[in-house]
Amino acid sequence: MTAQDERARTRPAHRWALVVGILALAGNLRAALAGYPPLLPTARADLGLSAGAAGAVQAGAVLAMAVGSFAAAPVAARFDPERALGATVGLVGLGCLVRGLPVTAALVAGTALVGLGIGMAGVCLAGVARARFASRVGVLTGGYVVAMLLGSTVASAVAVPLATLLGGWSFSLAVWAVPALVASAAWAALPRGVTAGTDGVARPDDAAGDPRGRGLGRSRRPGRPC
Amino acid sequence: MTPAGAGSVDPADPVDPADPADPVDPADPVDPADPAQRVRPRWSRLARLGACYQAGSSLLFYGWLTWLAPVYEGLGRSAGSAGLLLAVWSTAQVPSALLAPVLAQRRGRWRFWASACLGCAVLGTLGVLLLLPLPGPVGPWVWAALIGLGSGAGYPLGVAVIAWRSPDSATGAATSGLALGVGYLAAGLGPALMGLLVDVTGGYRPAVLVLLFAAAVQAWAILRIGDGRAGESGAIPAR
Repeated sequence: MTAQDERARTRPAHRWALVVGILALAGNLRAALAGYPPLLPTARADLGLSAGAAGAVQAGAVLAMAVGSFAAAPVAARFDPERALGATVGLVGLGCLVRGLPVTAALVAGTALVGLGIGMAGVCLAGVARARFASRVGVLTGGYVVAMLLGSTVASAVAVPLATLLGGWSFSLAVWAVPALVASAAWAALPRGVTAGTDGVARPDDAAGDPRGRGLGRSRRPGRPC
Repeated sequence: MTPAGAGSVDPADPVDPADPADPVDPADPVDPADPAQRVRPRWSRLARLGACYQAGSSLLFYGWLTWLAPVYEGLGRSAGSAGLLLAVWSTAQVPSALLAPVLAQRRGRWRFWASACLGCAVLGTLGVLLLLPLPGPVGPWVWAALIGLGSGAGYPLGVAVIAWRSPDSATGAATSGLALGVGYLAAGLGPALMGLLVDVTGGYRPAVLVLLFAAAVQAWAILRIGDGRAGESGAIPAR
């Protein structure tokens, strides 16, 4: 079966569902981070943290993203990258939920989970974009990065009003669990054939995604025009 | 065509063929039938250069995210005005993040667009650095917009070029995992280092110089990654 045959089997509606799902997942990848700095003075006062410690929480989130990025490829290889993508955004949502408790330990632990999830999801996103939309990586990458930026802009703009509305800075942090868990659940609920199964057949743009390595072997065949 | 990625497409690089860590080295036994081995993260040439690129790009992004408002507040602007400056910075990222990877893919001119975006960020950073004592009424807004335009495209261009130059998506994910991991390490430590410099020196110039150093690292990586050659797997697909 050629790549074209496989591509034809992925219906356009399915491809659009994938694109919408990817954008929805990406929209959550900076929101949880961006919601924190505006609340930093309030959280500091409430928890009795020094400025350095409160700032270190955010730096810790970015370092957790580094750990998540390093860990992502083995995880995505072990499990299906598309399922891993949904699960890592679920991890971001879980971290947000943990941050709903207004205690230092929950803030630190939740932030670590959020950072891990974001770091892993970024790598999974790049992998899924490459696997499913190899010829449109540029436009898809630009699109999901803008979704990240929009999520972060909205989150920082509404962080303080949300804290007032909900009666606590930690609730304002926890709110970002809702879109993350919804997007993650919706992604998981996409029918098989939309998200590729684990059999590698339904990854139309990526012959080498075949676990049997058939794509790599085929590309070594002499005379292949590329 | 070689089955592996852009690591192989630069014969001018004397280090590459001898590098045992490079996945494209023909002496390097990669068993494509073993998925675990195929996707194990490897410090290929692309991963090393991508890591330098993302370290510079992430440091520029997170450095300005953390310090743009404090720098101008330190110069006597109100918190509201400094916050608005940060909003200009983040809004300017949207068009470049969206368009730069598309433009880079269109004619395969990744190096040109990556350099142009980095140039914008450097120009804005120089503007902040050189005009710090006397920020004109227009100055800070222009600098914030230029830095935003430049740093907005950093992440997507870095992720996209790894996707284009990787032989398959699993290797691409492994490579971008390494590059992004190093990038976030720099992003986590850099702003803290800048804070230390602000505390020690009592001024913002040395801290901003850190960002120019980051830009230099990124520029070096852009030149080394280059455009690849048409017709090779390392080149940007022209489909």
